[in-house]
Amino acid sequence: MLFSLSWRPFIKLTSIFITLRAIQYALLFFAPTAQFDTSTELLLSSLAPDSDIDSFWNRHLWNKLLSWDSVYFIKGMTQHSSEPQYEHEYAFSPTWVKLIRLIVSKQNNTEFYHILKVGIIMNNIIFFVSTLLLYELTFQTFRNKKSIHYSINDSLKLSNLSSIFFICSSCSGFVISIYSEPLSILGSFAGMLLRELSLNSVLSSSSTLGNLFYIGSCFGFILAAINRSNCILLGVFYLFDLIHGLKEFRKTRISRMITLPILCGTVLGITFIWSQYYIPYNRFCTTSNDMEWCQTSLFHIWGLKQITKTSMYSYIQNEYWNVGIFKYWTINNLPNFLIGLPNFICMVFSCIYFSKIYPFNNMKPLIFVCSLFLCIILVLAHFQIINRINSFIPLHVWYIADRLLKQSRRTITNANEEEGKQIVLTGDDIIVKWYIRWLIIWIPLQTILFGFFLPPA
Amino acid sequence: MQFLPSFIRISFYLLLCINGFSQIFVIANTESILISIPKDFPATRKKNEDSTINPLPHILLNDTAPAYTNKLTLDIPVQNHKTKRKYYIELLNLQNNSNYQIKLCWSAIHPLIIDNLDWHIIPPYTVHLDSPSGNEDPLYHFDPVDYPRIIVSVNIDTHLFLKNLHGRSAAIGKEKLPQINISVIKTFLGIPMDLYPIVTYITMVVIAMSSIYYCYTRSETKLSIVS
Repeated sequence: MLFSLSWRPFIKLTSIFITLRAIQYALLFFAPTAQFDTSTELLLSSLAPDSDIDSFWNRHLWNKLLSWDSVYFIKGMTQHSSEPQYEHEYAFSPTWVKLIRLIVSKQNNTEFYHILKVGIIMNNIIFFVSTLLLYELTFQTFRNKKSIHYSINDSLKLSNLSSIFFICSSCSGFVISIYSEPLSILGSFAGMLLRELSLNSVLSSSSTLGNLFYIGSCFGFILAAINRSNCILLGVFYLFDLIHGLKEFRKTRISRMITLPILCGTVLGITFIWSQYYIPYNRFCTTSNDMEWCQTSLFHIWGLKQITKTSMYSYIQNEYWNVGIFKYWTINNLPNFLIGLPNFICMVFSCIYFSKIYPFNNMKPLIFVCSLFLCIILVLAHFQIINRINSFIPLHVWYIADRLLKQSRRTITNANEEEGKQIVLTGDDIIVKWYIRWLIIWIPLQTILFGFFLPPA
Repeated sequence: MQFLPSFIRISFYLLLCINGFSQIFVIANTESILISIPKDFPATRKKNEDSTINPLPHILLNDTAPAYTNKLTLDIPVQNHKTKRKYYIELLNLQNNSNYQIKLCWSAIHPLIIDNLDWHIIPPYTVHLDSPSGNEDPLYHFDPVDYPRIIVSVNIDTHLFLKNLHGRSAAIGKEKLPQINISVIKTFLGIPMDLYPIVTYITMVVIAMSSIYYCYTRSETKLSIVS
């Protein structure tokens, strides 16, 4: 069985997705039209036709979706050149911007609000496809026949629950607009799923298909990493596979268990260096060399000048958003830490859960990716963005889904054995319970705050 | 029934936290300060009718209009030889014994560095103001008037705007110049009036979500007991 998604869960997930988005857009529609940050009207006066700005639907809905970073994305999508106008705009996924420009150019309609609507529709489609991929990925990860914890039926239930929680994840407030995150999530889930399918078939007869899946996973991770550079962490999968392959080589003599991770890891690494070092260096540093970043080349020989101390993205983050080691650790950022805390706690416990309590061998690389991601978020990044960018790692979604599944099992057992006996919640159950309560408030709250151009972003 | 009050309490703290953000932090493309007009402050003119020599951009407050209409959009000239300038905006028709939030917003599509947002009371018959930041700004000349003026000042640096990768000429010649919005909003109980509609809206949504969740979990518990 290659794909497990049947019509019933598909219709269920589609209904939940459409209902949630309908609620979110309705919340935006009924929110006051005058935003806290009045800069959207300046943006619109620069980019949109004056006659369209104040039309009913634009004023009540579409204009409200142009808050925070979507300003950079809409600028990239609508301006004459496909290249960023200022160096800091390079941080806002030129890949995603170019994809929308490509779609719009095929339609021969470059009207401002049309581009905005195409961006929003594409974002929702990509997010929904990612949900379906997560369904399959969950099933493929947990269906392991050797597992004592999960039957096929349990894996299907877990896939269903995980996908529902993914639809209702903490980034929901942002993905209703034109942010680039869903594209990274799509690449990440596609890559993980193809790798999982490959590992499930690599020792079986269909090894050619397995090899193709494994190579395909590389393209998924490349898409994720060139869109959002933090997704380069997904390369850890290949590192783990290589170590595992080297260990197993003596027994199995299957050389592709070594060659495939080396090949895919190298391609991923080279593509990342090409997109984060070579392209920006050739773009910014060959004509005028006045940019500070251009002076940080590590090698001064032909062909290697492009290798700089930090990537272009890191330079921009540091220069324009003061991102750096412990730079965000100030007293006035304490509320931002509190806002990101529920996700941080949930992710930390999901790492512990799947490495200590219910250990899964095939989840080790993902736990390592998650741990690295948490370290980066804690030490380097603007902490609260964890709510927006953590969705490319499905570990915490599995943690929530798994606890709920186990709780429901215990409820049934208790009901059968001793009527009326209260279920005692474990520490994990309490975390999950409060996380869900937080999500119920956070999703509508974040949607409204985003539409009103209020922090936290 | 235990869950609902704790939920509302958490939501209230969240709202407080968010409101705190809007007032304490300098965030993204918004900068704001709070000003307080004393009880015994002499009346300011309703219009700067007699501005002739060097009229200042001004915001004439209209208390009957919604808070967000007390706004001025200022064009920021961009010159290669002088990227850093100080701008002054006069506030007219402010009420005594009142507090106001002064808010500056600019779009991220036009990179500007905005700092030192401040306000000053200029005594009557003053003809110029020394720049507090030293020699980089020239003296700013005013019409001598017989009432104290309330002036908002801000430094705006356009050097990032000139680092246009599509070519400097394109930045100055063909594209729209950067603009900033300056808004004056009266505060009530320390919260700017324009935030009240959204605070009310958020509170209603949070209460509605909490109630739905409470009813759902209650009905689920009942069902499990019955089954």
